[in-house]
Amino acid sequence: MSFFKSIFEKPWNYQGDDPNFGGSEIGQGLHPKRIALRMFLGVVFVIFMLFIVAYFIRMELDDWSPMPESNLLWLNTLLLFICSVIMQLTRGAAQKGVAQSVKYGMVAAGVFTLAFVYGQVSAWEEMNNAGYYLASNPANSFFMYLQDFMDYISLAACGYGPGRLLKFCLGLKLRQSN
Amino acid sequence: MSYIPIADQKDEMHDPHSFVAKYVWSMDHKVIAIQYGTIAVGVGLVALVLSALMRLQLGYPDTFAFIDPAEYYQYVTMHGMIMVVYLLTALFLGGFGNYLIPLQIGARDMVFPFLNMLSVWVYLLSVIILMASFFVSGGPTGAGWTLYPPQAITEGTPGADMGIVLMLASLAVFIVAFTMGGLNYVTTVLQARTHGMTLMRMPLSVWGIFVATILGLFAFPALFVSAIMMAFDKLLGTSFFMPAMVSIGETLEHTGGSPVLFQHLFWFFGHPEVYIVALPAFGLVSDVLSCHARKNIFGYRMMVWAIVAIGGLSFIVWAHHMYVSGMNPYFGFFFAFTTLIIAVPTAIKVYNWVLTLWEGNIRLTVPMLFACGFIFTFLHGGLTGIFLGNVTVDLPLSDTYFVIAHFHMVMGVSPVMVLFASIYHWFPKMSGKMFNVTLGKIHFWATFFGTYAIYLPMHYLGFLGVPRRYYSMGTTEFLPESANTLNANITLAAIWVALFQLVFIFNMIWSLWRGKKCDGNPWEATSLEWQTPENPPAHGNWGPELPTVYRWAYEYSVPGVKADFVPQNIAPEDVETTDGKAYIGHED
Amino acid sequence: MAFVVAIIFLVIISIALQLFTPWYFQPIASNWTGIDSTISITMWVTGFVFIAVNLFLAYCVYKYRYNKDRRANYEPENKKLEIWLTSFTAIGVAALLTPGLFVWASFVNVPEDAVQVEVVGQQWQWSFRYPGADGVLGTADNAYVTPENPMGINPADPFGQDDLVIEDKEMYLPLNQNVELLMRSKDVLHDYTVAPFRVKMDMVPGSISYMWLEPTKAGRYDILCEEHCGLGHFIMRGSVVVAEQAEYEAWLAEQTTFAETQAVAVGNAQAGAANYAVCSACHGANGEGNQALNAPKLAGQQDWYLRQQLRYYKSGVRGTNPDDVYGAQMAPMAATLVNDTVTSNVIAYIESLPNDPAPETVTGDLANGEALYSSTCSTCHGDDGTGRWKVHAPALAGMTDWYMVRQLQNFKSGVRGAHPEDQLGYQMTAMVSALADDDAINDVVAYINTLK
Repeated sequence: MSFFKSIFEKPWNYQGDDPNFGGSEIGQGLHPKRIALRMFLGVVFVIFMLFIVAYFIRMELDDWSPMPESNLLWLNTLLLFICSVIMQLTRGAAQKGVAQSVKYGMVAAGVFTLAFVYGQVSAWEEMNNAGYYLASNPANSFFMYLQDFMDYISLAACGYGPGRLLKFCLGLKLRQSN
Repeated sequence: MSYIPIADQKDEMHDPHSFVAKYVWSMDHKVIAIQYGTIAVGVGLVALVLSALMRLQLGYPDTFAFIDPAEYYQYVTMHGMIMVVYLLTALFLGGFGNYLIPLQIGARDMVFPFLNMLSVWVYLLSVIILMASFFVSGGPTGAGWTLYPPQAITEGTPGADMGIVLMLASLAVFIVAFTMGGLNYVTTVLQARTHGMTLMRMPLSVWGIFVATILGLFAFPALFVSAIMMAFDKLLGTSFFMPAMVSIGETLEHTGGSPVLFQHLFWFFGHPEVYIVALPAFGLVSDVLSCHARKNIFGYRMMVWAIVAIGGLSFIVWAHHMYVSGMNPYFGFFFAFTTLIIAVPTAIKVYNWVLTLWEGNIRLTVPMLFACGFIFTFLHGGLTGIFLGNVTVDLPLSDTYFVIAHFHMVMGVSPVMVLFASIYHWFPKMSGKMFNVTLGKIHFWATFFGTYAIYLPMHYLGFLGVPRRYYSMGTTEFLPESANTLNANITLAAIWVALFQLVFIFNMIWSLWRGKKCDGNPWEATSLEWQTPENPPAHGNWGPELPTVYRWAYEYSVPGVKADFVPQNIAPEDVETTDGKAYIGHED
Repeated sequence: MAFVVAIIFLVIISIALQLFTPWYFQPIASNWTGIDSTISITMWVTGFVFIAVNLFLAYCVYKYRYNKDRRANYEPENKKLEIWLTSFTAIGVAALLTPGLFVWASFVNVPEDAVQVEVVGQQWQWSFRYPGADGVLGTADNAYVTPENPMGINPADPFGQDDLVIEDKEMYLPLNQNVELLMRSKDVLHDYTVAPFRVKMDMVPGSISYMWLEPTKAGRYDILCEEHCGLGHFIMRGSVVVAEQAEYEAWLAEQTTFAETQAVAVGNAQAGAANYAVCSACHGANGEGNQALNAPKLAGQQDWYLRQQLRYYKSGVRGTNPDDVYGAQMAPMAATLVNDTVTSNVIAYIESLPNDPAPETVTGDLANGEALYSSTCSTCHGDDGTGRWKVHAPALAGMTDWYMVRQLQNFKSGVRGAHPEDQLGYQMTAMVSALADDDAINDVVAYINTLK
């Protein structure tokens, strides 16, 4: 039963603890960390959305001069995309419990993440060399701010990933030894 | 494998033993709630003193040499920011949210106790950063609590060097703390409800806190984003919000930024923030009213819908703070429309509170006095909001004392009335002691009359055209001498109210120490937190067995039942009925 | 019971205050009577709800007070009543909103025949620009701002040349004529508010905001800044005079065009030397000042400030207060500078004099002086006390300290700065309230002595 259906119940009409009553239990049966993660992703989504909205509002003003597009950025996008695909595949492998694939998958994802971050830093340098500094105009500011933000998130994920991987492998080993 | 509801996991208990683990690095939601509350009240007292200093200057200009214009603007700014964010938000969600959510839904604790503990310490860190700005060179920022650029980070404003940077840093840290707490509250409400506690059986307190937390999670990012962007403008010389300008004789490097963009981001946070404070207050006051009127809350479903509707609408009304900001004036049509729509669910809540009293059996206890006082002050503040929300009427009134009076009635006095009602209401549960009733009544009467004496006349100064954020009025063509006298009297009332808060603090401390012990359910309330085996509840809240919930939280004065209340966790067969037959409930 | 009485009492007090208040809107002076009607409607509707709900609240608390032999009525909800109340509220809200939106629609649409006037805000002064003979305002931008072109008018724009530039805190508006106010800011946000006009609008740097009105009542009204703009927000005042068409045009005719302000003769220091002879009698051959003759140091003072103060002496803004003994001596001397060219020459000569710090005669608590100076004075006069042309703050460092003490006392007592045409002096009269007594004045001046 959906949230919106459940809030039309008349709670005073029923006495008892029948678990089927108003079985509106959204989130029941999910791990709480999963709910918290979903909420947190919602928060991150809002942050990015606000950046992007601010970016578009700013673009509307007359004096907007866009940044030149660098081919490196397209390459970086490709790296990020491949990285995501690998992560997804690794996830599938993890669910099946194939330790070897998980290990390789994680390592590959890590390599691509680092390559992405390196690509971003290179792009930044390229811009700086071409005279587009953070503070030269709003387009640069927005662009570099967003880029910066992406890098931190990638690095955080990159640091978190291997840690989880280690824990996961230990878990698998335990399971195998049992 | 499906997940076992956390409520049933016995191994989640982690009894602390040493003093430090119990009261300092505690992961118990009740201790964390008290920690949140103590920090918030402490920092709130700082803001209260600042407001008294401000009022001294306004009431008696040219009298107090130690308040110069720079300091005045710093007091204004810090007072506003502390009260809105560090006191009200933290106390309602960090304090009451933490205390009541697990108890009212029948959980042993929050689902992430460690994160919860982290949240309160990070909150303390944000408060320390904020307070540090009093001690850096140039002092705290004097930009006004809205921190509008370019003024907030340019030289003509007090504290534009270090003060504003610390303010932005403190806000960012606060948001991190809030997000940690908020994820916890939402997950706990969704996950850790005990058997039989359906969403629609939750007390309205939990509903209010739940929806407010979701608002907070999605609104604070806007403040976070704008704080970071402003810090970039200040520290790295970017131009997100900074147009080309000549500040105090110097042409700045900035070019092309948009100050109005900041206002949009700020109020996209700022308006939901009003409801982040108001919704928990709505919820808490509903429970207090219902319990002391010995009657179910009138129109429970409507109340829930109104909370959800207000929460949703609060995201599409933000620009009513910006009618005269120089944004495209055509936005005014849309935002006036949405703003006045929000008046409808809000009005329904007021009707339902009064209708809860209708045909009730009202015990005018101290918490009930504050709750009824809230209806009066909130009605007043809500109605003046209709003036300001209507774009045309806002034209002469915006940025005057009318605005000050309005938002202090609706966002200052009203939530504070609820805070006092709630503190008095739940004090016996939190401490196991009863407060002193006489002192409580003195506190109520002084606060209720005092605050109205401050803010009612202030509306009229606003009509007259007295602008806000003026250090002194000086000479004008329009201000009669009587207006200055009135301002001085407002100051006297403000000091009176501030002094009588000492009665409250004394009462709390004294009662904690010497108060009469009371049993676990002194108000004869139905909701779960009053049914704990120990009073105050022990770690883990419920002893070995979690309670099972059989009905909603408002089973008061039900026909055919002997007592005038039926707790949520009493099995129907154990309810004593007048005719001796089994209690089966009722259908309408 | 006490609560019931209290609620009724507060309702009565509120009604009484509304009916008999001595503090209410100032008489309207523009066409925006629609705003006043909307406010009246809102007041009636909300007043009705306020009284009705509160009396009902009082009634309930009284009628249903606790009685242990009675039971509350059990009624979870009452759909009919709730639907009725909701619709009733929705209708009330619609009734409030609709007239408001009609007024707003006319506010956002400026009539074709409106005369354009530009209002420019800066920390913490107003200035104004009228379109001149061609009826068109030239373009302007903060990038063009210089000491000679403080409003940042585009020097290359032919439409801007005949614009009338009013660097003064007073503006005129024609009676019964639609006016569109175009608003600009040089630095931070400001807000142009004239309470009797009812309308207001923020001024945003980097863009031009607008509002329009038709002044309908002649008179002089305060212009207040109502958007927090920093330390001096509360002293950002001006006035607007609504005048008959003829008087308005006469006033316009007195104003200088942008082209004229750009053509001010550059002073000739050599020519000025001869005229300075009169000054040197008191101020000294090198403009070093003379305490015995109560003449302050001139050398090292900023040229625009000397020009402005000479103008004030000549026009009687300064030196006419009966308590200003030394100012009264200066006034006839200033009159010997017969025209702008002579004045410019003398100032140019003073600027060429060697600038040696004046001798120190004032002592005080330096720590306190520094605290006072850095929290208040330095914002305009600069951390180093050299003054800033843009906020009209003269140099302090190295100037004669006894003179500064006297002027601060004069500002405090209203001997200086109280004249209505003293555009900037009134700001000092507000700011000196940060100096409690003569000790504080000595402290701050003693600190200024350390700045050279």
